[in-house]
Amino acid sequence: MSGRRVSRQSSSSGGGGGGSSGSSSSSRITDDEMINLISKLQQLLPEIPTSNTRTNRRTNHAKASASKVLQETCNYIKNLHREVDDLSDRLSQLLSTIDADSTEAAIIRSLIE
Amino acid sequence: MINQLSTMRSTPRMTSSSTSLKQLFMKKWIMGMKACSSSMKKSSLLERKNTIKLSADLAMASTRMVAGCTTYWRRAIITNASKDPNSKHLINHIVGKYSRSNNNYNSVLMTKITSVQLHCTRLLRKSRSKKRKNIVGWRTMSDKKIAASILSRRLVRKRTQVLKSLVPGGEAMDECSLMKEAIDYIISLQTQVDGMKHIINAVTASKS
Repeated sequence: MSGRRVSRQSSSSGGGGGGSSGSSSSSRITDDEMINLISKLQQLLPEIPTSNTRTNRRTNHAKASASKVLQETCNYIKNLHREVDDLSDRLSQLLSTIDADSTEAAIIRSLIE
Repeated sequence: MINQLSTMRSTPRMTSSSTSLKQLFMKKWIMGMKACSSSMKKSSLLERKNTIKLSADLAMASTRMVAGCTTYWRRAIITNASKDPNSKHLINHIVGKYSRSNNNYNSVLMTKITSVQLHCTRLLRKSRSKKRKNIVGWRTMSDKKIAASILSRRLVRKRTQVLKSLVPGGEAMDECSLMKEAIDYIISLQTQVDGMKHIINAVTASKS
């Protein structure tokens, strides 16, 4: 029990980097690995053009805040889900107005390209 | 797998590997929709949309799926879909032989959930005891730093919970694997969206 408390304090001194020691004890992840994962995740996320984009680019190499990256990730996944929903909606509407043969021909053509 | 992902990201998004993934997804998706085409013609708009979405998810889940693959989210999608008896035809068509080997996902999930629940109750007990320390004295710098770190840790925990609810099968994962799964899931979602846009553009182009 006390061992866990000690490891918690050390992770908080590292800037609150995700509480990695709080997760299951079977997979010992280092803070470096966590930082690595977070930076990779950050690279995947689209950059939001704000008024401070110039200052963002300068400080881009600074360590990303874990909670911000997590929030952006959640928002991005929600956006992607919504996009999939919209696209499948559109497709189902399109399929109702088109007969089968022309649709299949168009699809096969697009796959070949 | 993570190394492959990192090399994919260093080049612009439309690399040859990502286009081949996209084509694989599109092929599986269309195969699935063709298998249900007879039922789709009769069904309503909403049912057709659900079929399209389900076949897209299954196609995404079965793309780049190896027999020894350890991504949970793919298996979670397939397991959740197989709970519905109407979708079994679609699953067999798109996923095929891997659907049988993934039956042990449920048992793994149950054991992990109980261990996570135990862990969560322990964390809750600890956080309650820590809350009492916060109230005393905010004046000194070290106290402020401790408060900031506690706040940031709470934020991270809250957002990790949200992420767990978004990634399929995320409830049973620890933080490290959740991050890895999220990375893989986002890449697959991007592939899915690109593939769907491609096909819809082709269909609208043929219409006009």
